[in-house]
Amino acid sequence: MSRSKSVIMLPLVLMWSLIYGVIGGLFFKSLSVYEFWMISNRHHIRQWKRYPVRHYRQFTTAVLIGRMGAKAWSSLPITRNQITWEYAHAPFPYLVILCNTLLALLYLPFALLSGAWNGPSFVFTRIWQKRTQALTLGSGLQSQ
Amino acid sequence: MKKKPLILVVEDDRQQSDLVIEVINETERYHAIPAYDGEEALQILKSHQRGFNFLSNKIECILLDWQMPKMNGELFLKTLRNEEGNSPFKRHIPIVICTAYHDKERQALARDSTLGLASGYILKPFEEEELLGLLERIVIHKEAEILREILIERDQRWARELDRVSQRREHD
Repeated sequence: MSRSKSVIMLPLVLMWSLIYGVIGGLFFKSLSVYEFWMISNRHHIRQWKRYPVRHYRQFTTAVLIGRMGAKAWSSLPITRNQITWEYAHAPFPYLVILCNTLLALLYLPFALLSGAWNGPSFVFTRIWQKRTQALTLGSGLQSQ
Repeated sequence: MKKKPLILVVEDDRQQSDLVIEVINETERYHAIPAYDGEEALQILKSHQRGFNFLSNKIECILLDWQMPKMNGELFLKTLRNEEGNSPFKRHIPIVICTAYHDKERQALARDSTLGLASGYILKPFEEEELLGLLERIVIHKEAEILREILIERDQRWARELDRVSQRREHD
């Protein structure tokens, strides 16, 4: 009986997984890209606002690495002094936000593809697991 | 009504777990859920997935006991981070390690073995304010990543300091 039920259920579950999985996958993946963008930006803004010294140190180090390039190591203290003289405070992280936005936009199509691909398998596995659990629970109760 | 942020308390000692949960729930800002070992905690995390597991988990923070019988804190932490590593753009769940180790060597070992995977570290017995302060920074102010970076930097400083001391001893 349960086997014949499974034969009927399987195509229905497959169909549902495909439809709901693709739509849900696309939607949730785009949401996940937005979530990543939000979290990453919030991290930098928070650091700039609440941990200015730390942010300033990270900023000057990044500029120093960029400027040192092929320069001799002996010029490191002078370059560092120049940077601290040029920038009294770390600027608002506009550049980081811009980079994050570009990265998110670049990643979005791939994320959507992976959402459409992985969504159906996720839905199918979930439904089938629940069904198997319900069946084993039912047979356990019957045997009691 | 806005839902309260969920905190997962992974602690094998039921008395301690109840106490921590009571402290957290009393604030009425968070809702604490117990798990008595690492395996149960992983199950709870699985049942709190959002959006086909593409979005971040409903659990906002995990308070993790280091010493547990079935699956200890270190194994749990590594398993969780391995799973999270499959989706690099997803937010990792912030973890606060709670341990009773007092000597610095064990602390350093525990910290080193987590490879900077946790956002905070508190020693038992801890004060209510210490725990709630950490939770506020992680859950309300969303500073888990900054705290994790600070923890890593502190570890690196310690390691450098230890190296310097051992080198000086060898030299002497």
